Amino acid sequence: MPLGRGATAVTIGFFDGVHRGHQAVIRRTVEAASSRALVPVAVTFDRHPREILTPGTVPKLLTTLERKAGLIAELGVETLVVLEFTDDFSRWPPEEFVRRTLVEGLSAEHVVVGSNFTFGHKAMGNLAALADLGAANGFGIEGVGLLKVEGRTVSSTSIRAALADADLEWPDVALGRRYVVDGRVTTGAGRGTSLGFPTANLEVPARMLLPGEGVYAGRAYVQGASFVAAINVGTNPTFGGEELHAEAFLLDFEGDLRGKSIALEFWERLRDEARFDSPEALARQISDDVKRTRALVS
Amino acid sequence: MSGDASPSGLLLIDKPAGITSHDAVDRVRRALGQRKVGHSGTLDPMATGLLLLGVGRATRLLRFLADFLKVYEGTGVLGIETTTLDALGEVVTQRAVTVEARELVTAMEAFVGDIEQVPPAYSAVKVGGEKLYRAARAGRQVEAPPRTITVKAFELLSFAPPAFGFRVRCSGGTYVRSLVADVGSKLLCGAHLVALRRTAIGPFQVADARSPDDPGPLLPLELAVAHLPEVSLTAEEAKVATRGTILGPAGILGPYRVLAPDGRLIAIYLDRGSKASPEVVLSPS
Repeated sequence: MPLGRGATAVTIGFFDGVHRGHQAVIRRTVEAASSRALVPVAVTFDRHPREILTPGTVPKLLTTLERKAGLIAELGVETLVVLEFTDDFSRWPPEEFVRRTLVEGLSAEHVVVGSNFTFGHKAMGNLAALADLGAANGFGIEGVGLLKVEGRTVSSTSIRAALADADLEWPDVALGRRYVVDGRVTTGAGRGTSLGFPTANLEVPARMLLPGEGVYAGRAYVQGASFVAAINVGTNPTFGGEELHAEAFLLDFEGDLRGKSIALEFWERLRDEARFDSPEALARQISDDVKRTRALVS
Repeated sequence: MSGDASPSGLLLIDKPAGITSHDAVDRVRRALGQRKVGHSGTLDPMATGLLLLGVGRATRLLRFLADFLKVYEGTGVLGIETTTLDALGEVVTQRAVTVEARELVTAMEAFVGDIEQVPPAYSAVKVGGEKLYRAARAGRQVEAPPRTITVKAFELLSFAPPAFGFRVRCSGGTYVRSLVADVGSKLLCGAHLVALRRTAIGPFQVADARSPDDPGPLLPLELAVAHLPEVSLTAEEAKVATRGTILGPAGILGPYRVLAPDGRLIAIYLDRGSKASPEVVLSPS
């Protein structure tokens, strides 16, 4: 378990979405590390704590572990430690967590967390407790207050709620970037009838959050290149589905995407999914969708 | 289990998108509680519209519906070619579209008349005993022989570049997605079919069609052959016709109905040289 990298400045959190609030905490950690000649480390978990603590209430996630790791690394963190949030781990009392992870594992000299951070069995540990344990174990702590933007508190929960409502505005502001969904193009084609285009059907892990149903303009990142894309998120009731799934049409792309990893970046919502009464109505909508998608995505 | 006593007749069904014609027939079987249900002329899974079904004895009359002209309304998109010629395939090429409505209409008119079509690689035509689509999925190149079909009309309903709405009236066996793809080839930008709805088969209209789960009352099976010429028989002839016996020729080209003196449909006969023999004999109801 010991990192063997020397003394560290550590931040801890699940960091789903790595939103601007998380970014503030992580940047503060990197700054503190820099000014104290410490190695900046982030500690996160392989699954949402609720999977163990209150199963059945796990929210859909905003970022995969891979994307989360990339975003955290971009902020200057040198090492990301991913802990298995097992049943056993969840029972560690606060002191045990501090001793095993921060002291023995990471040789932490400075710890930065959000001011609402809780830890240890039954969330008995809070910022004050961490400060006491820090004093006893040789590390200082810093709490970073929740970030507010335009009067609204930035939180993963509020971002998820907005996305589920097909609102991209708050997520863009709160994340500090456009919302991206990672997936893989499945064999077989999409059902794209709402778009009227040949679409690539995406397999997105069930635990990941898709924005609410509708048609969006965005970008698709695949094979090292990016393309303007029209994206359809829907339930496809014709096929008896209730889970949302995504399909995308990549403008100006030719070729076979089957099996390829793809990231969909959502730029703007164009409209609801719709059924079309007539070929004229569908033709007009297709034309409209293409024009608007091209105009909206640069 | 000949089905003689069970209800027989025709059904007009509006197939929903996303299921095969076979699935639609299965749903009707379940709704009716009857196994003997057939259909005349499939629709692709993503297409909607009129499916003509025969129930009980009427299944044997379905083949006479094949000659009816079909009417489809659909939507195509210029500039994009796909592997399956429709929106379910992968994009093969994408090109800019600078076509004007006039040029599109001219290109469509070029396909009116008797034309040869090669079944698209993903259709269910058999070549050498192997279904074309299975060969395509296995990546083998299989050449299907061209078929002659007749396009009576091919009209542009709307044009919102790159998409266009159309109506086509054509003979059975026509691949509408091939027509659309060929229009695209003619315009040098490519095209594919994105939506299709069959609105009529001969005199039968989709407006009268019902859901496969609620097919409604059976229509008289005589409707399936009402378009064929009729010959009224004497009581004597009627008696032998019910047994499917050879009769003298009626001098009619193609299949015709033979009716009892009371107007009841007995059978469908066909002249063969100096004789007439039955194609289908309907058991006494």
